[in-house]
Amino acid sequence: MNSASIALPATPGARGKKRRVWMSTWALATLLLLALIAGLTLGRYLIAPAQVLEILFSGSAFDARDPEAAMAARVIESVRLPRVLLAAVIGAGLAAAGAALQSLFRNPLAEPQLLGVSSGAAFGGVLAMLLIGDGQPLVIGALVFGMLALAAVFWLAGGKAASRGSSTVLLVLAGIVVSGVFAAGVSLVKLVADPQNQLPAIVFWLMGSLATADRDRLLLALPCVGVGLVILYGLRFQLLALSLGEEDARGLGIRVGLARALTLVAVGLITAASVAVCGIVGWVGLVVPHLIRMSFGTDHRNFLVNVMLGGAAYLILVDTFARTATAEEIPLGVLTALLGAPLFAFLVRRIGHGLER
Amino acid sequence: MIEMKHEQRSPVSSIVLAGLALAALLASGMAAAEKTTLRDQMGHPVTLPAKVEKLVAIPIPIASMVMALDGSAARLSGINSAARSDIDEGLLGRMFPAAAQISTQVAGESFAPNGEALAAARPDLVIQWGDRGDAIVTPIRKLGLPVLTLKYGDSQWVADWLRITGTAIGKGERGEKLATWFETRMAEAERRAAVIPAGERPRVLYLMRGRSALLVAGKNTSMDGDIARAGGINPASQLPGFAPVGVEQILAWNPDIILLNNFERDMSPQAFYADGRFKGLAAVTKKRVYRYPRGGFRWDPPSQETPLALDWLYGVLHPDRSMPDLRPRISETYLMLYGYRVSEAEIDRILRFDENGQSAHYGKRFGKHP
Amino acid sequence: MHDNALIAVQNLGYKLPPCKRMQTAARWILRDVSFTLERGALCAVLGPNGVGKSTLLRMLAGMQTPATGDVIRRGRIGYVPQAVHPALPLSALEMTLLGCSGNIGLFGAPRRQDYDAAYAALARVEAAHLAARSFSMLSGGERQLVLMARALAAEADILILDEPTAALDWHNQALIMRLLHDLADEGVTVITSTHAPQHAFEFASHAILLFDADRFAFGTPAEVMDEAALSTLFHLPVYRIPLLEQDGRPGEKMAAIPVFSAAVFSAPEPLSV
Repeated sequence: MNSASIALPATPGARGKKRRVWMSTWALATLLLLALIAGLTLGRYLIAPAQVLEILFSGSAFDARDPEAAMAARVIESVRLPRVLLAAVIGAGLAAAGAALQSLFRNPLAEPQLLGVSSGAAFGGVLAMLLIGDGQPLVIGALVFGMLALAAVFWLAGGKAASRGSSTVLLVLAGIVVSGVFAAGVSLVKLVADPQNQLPAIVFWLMGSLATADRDRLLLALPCVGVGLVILYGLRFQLLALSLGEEDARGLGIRVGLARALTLVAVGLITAASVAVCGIVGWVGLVVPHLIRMSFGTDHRNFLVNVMLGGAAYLILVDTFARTATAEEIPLGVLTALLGAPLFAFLVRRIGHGLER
Repeated sequence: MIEMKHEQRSPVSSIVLAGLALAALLASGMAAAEKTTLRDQMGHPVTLPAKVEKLVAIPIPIASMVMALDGSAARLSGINSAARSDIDEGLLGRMFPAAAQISTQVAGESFAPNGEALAAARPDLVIQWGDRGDAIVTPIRKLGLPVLTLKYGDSQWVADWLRITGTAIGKGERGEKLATWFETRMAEAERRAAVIPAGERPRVLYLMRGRSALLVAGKNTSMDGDIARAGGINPASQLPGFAPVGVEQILAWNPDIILLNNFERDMSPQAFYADGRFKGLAAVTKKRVYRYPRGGFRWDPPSQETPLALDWLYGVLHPDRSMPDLRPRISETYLMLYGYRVSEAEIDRILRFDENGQSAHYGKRFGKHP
Repeated sequence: MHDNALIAVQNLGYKLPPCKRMQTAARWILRDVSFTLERGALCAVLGPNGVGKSTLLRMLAGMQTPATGDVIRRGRIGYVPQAVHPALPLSALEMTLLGCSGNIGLFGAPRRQDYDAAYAALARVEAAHLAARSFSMLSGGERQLVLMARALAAEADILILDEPTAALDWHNQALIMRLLHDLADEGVTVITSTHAPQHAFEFASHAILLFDADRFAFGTPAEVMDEAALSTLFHLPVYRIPLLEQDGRPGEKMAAIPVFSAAVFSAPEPLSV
């Protein structure tokens, strides 16, 4: 009733401003494209960049009589492409999940592992390894127990207190409890696992790696992470409101309970799927959103998109390094922590108290 | 390598021993006037009790080795839980049914001794790895139990395992006999491989893991040494120990032969041939992926069965070079080692014919000839 | 509740639960508050610190469940809290846009008309120049203006404000109070808490005085805000003098003048309860 009666003031440059906002997204999309090209061109199996492009654009129409060319095509199509795409999917997912949780918990240090879903998925994975074997059972076990952990967190934090203001704190506490229980479960499985047969496999998987990436894993991760990302992008405005705190958001007419539940389900799906296909890859959800905030701002229209693009490019680059730097493959989880921690420390030092701005 | 000396009991050692060897005294019921001191593989002098009637063997291959030396499982009161699969799934349980009763609680993850279970096993002597840090040895010493330490690495060292373990259980002569046999056969294998020109040596990759991760055997692994001894080249020999690699690295190496381990369940050449990522690999197109056999012990890590493993490996690597038929060799060796007559069906099982049968040259090389 | 009433309150009460650890019994914060406000009313809520003004406002806004009684509202509620502390960076424009949340679906985002409404709201509180600035970097007063703009963008029928002028200088206090008065003229029912009786005298159509948990007064400012009531309310002598009209004669508008240096004041019983 009020704005209708008021003459609209001129909003100089509103259109121009909008265009400038999306500039960062274009820049990040270009970065992702470059990362994709780098990821597909670099590898231990040497293939000339021109040949890589030829293979990519000619489909499988290579000369089958030339075994060298056939091998190069297979390397690109069944080794590099699934791995690079899986890195992109997981990177985008974990980064967006981190950004969403930071809004939800109103804490710039929140990351997907906080919810206990990682621990749950890790437990499901090692349990499947212990009882059935790795491969498909591991992936399914991780997914099932990851979602189970999420349900446990909901149940613990729910009840009558959920309607009161303290429920975000309760969620964090429930996450810590669930995480602790499942982490103990993982240790227990490690204890009873056959030290020669199963234990090394469990340890390696927990370290996190994309070395086992293939089409099947990509096809399993893609829908889970994809659905999660679509939900999170849809909630971008609700997440902005949630970052003001539950009470204020409720006062603004936001359906806090619903928005929060959807966010958690999306984050849970993404986290469980990523643990299932590549173990625990830490730090991405923490480092990437902050990098994007510092470099490109936080306009809610494209912040989550920027985070997804940045996360995808980041993980592709880190994984490309992990698999090409030495003949020995560096576990991805080790590298993301090794790279993420100092990067984060540098940001903290440089921006200092500006972090909470 | 083995030094034995007889010494008079010194006052100091008698005090120490009095404190230590309650279990030994209970078992033997006597105080020996003379003690035997043995230098173990790490160079530590170990004073042996006069009689070792109960033995705990924490290194996995020593369980079957003691049975081979002793002709029985009676002396073992504790073994590694990983040795259990040789008893349950391998041939060991068939040859020594009593082995199924041995406690497997004495050690846990990474060979860490379990004090309570160890004490309950009341051993006169404990055998442990000596090259994996003192943390897994000291707790045993603190229990007052004498510890004999061995080191892991090259297959060549198995001869010393045989001598030391044989001496320790009072079967020095048998130990020496088996060690000499072992060394002769190793030398024979090395001579056989030495004449192979560099151009005819295939590139052979051993996969310690093939499913949850790809882990290849590099420098300082027994598999690296064995591949060379069988006349092959390990393309991963520059990497340290068991190293994780990516699919692409394996494609870049393009090995002629891939050897699969005995540790992972559901590990078979068929799974490898079916994996689209490895299509076009020389080893896959020529169907030269093999899983290591398993008899009284797994043939990939070092053990008293390593000479057979080297024969098998030579046969796999060089299908066109002549060699004595492996099947009678297995029969002879099992009779000599375990006093057991293997049936033809058991040899097929040892050689994993159900899994390796589809791979190149396997039937011709190792099959039963009428 | 008659036709023109937008908000009606009956026997409203709020009780703090007992605390075993601190060994305190259950305590009433408010008891038996009843009043009705019509479309276009501007009601000032006055009372000392800690008497329960915020609690009352939050119950009116439906953000807190009362222990007794009912609140009946007709129309959309807009609530402006005393302060908002965003944990993550957002711009003043985004903060204002959040006022439009009621129009935006679960998976939606602000559309063109929401942006227009947000810009217009910012302009109305003279804060258009702050649009691109980070909300957390603004001064306390600027933040208050942006929060006001957010409430405007919500296009509420009932606007509830918790001390909107607390951090503001006189110019900005005037800006906000005039704005609230204009909104009331446009038909919005405004309920605002304040520590300045002057705001009530100059702008409000109604006043609620909260003396303590059991005593409150409701009526027009002229009726209920006499010297005795104000003195009781603030525990110091307060004089009420009429403001002079242009021709020099005392007019209808009043000014409240406290004597801060007076010794502790023993209050007479308030007149109307």
